Amino acid sequence: MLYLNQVEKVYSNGSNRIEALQEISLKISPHTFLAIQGKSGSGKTTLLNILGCLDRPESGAYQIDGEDTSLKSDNGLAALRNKKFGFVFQSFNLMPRFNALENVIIPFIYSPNPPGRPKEATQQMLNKVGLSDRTKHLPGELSGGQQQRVAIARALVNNPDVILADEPTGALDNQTSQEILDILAELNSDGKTVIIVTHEKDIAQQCPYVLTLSDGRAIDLKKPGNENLSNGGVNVL
Amino acid sequence: MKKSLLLRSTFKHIGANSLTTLFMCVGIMIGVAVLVAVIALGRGTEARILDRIDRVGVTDSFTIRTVPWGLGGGGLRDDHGELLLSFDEVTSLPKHIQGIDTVLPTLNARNPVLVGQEKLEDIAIQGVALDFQQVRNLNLSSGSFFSEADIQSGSHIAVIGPALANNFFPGENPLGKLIQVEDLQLEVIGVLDTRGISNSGRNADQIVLVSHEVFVELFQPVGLSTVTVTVQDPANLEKLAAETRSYFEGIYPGEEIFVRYPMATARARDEVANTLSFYLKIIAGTSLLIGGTVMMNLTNLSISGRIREIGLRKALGARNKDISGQVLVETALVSIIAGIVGILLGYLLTNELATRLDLRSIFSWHAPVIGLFFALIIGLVFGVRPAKRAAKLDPVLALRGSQQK
Ligand SMILES: Nc1ncnc2c1ncn2[C@@H]1O[C@H](COP(=O)(O)OP(=O)(O)OP(=O)(O)O)[C@@H](O)[C@H]1O
Ligand SMILES: [Mg+2]
Repeated sequence: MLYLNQVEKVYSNGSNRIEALQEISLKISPHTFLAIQGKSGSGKTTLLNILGCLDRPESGAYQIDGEDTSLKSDNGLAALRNKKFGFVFQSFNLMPRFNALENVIIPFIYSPNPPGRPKEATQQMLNKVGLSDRTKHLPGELSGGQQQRVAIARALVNNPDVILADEPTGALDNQTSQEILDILAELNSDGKTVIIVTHEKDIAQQCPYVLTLSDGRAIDLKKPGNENLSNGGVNVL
Repeated sequence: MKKSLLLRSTFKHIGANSLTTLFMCVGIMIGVAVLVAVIALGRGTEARILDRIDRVGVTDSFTIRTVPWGLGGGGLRDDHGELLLSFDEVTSLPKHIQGIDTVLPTLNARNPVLVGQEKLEDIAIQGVALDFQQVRNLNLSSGSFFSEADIQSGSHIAVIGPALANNFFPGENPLGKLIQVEDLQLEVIGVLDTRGISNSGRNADQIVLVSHEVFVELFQPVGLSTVTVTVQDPANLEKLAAETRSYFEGIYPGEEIFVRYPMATARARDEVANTLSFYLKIIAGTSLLIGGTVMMNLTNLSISGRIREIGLRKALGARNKDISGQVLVETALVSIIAGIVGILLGYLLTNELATRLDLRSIFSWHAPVIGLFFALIIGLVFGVRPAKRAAKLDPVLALRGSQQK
């Protein structure tokens, strides 16, 4: 359970204050598939970064499974990012000199007790995203969609509860975008919470929950018609 | 597993930026090379001094001459116009100066030596006293030195240096063989142990020692230009040498008397090595510091080029100390590589210096171990700042490739 209570984030550029997030209160249950949409600069990335413990709220509280993140040290947050969350980025963010296997293995390096043995776990994750035959390829030798799959495999390797993806399809064509979305949907049906930020209407439409931000505020939450708890749930409080 | 993964990624990074790595290495490489040379030459000099004291043996004797070393001084004829001391003046020295033990008038000539038709030019012939062997601490590799009886019977006998023995009698026993000097046939009764190259650069093993009496018979010297004096207490050596010098300069006003004690030459050599080592240490220290600074700046630069990577690693769970650790592993690895190359360069440098300046060098485990140690320390010390900077990067900003708040 991810629980945000009156979360604010303010950036000050010299004299002008930018209120990137204002009074965000959200409850995100396990197994949720949530899309966050909104205009550019509306605070989507800022929200996702706070959810993923990359950033701390200015004020307000963020609890993960009942634990208050403000009490955690930087190392504690790093451990959370490593174990609880998997990140997927718009620009893939793969290490150019590492092949697919080596890229996928990175979260393992920082894990005090990784789930399983590195070789097998990475291979298994690459199989899962349909890249079993590209394990020794460098990112430069892969298409955009394949690179994003490697990134998803990397996000999965430590078996996190939550996948956070900031415009995972932003750099891909429509068909490839759909493939990536299908993979994410499959992960959600496997039990993971998946939270994606997207610009694209037709991507958002396919997600059961859609949160709309505007000027740092949550102005709308679309819920599925047949909401039942096994499909997770989101509440704007 | 994790360690090997981290190391592998470090190697990849270093390999992919080989030019930067090379620049990082240069200073440390030079520093370590010079450091290795300092150590090897230092140990060599130390060993040489000990060795020399051992071999020369006489720390309780000094030698005076009326001409500088390397210029005649045989005491044969005064055709060079050189001052010759009389036998009386020399042998009465212990009576005039308190603390002098014995006086060894030494007669030197350089003369051809023949065995049958075979002839070697310009061999040092020395006329020496009975106790010369004991005073000079000379060892014989075979045979014996002159005895009292030998001298009284007026036998024509000689002790020769090992190089001479080898020249004339290769593979044979020289004892009992005859060598000819001027028109006297001398029987070889002893062969000296090797002494190597003397301070003046002459081969001290190309030598013929004869008794005083035989020397007089050969060359009819008219006086002495070289005298070796032993003292009762080595602590007074320098003082007595100075007294002896002024004593003779008093007898022969206006003449210069030259003094040398074995330690002096060792010390002079020692000084060359010390001065060299002093400057080498400065060079080593400077280049290590410069190398460290260069490495720090290049590492900073390389971190600036890898901000997104650092942000990514943080997003994937790297703690601050994982990031700083990785940077330190990198600088340490680069400096170890630099250290290893530096050690190899140091060997070359040492050999070059040793042959050019006629110094001795000794390689042992010290030089590489200390060299590597310093390289590693430099890598770690100068890696700390870039490592801290990398660790402090804000993950959100770093992921965007920007570093300022
Ligand atoms: N480090 C920062 N310093 C100053 N202002 C910032 C910083 N990061 C974000 N902002 C501002 O906060 C607001 C929200 O930014 P955010 O990146 O969350 O928007 P977004 O919804 O992800 O936009 P986009 O769709 O363009 O990615 C923007 O006005 C942005 O300019
Ligand atoms: Mg964004």
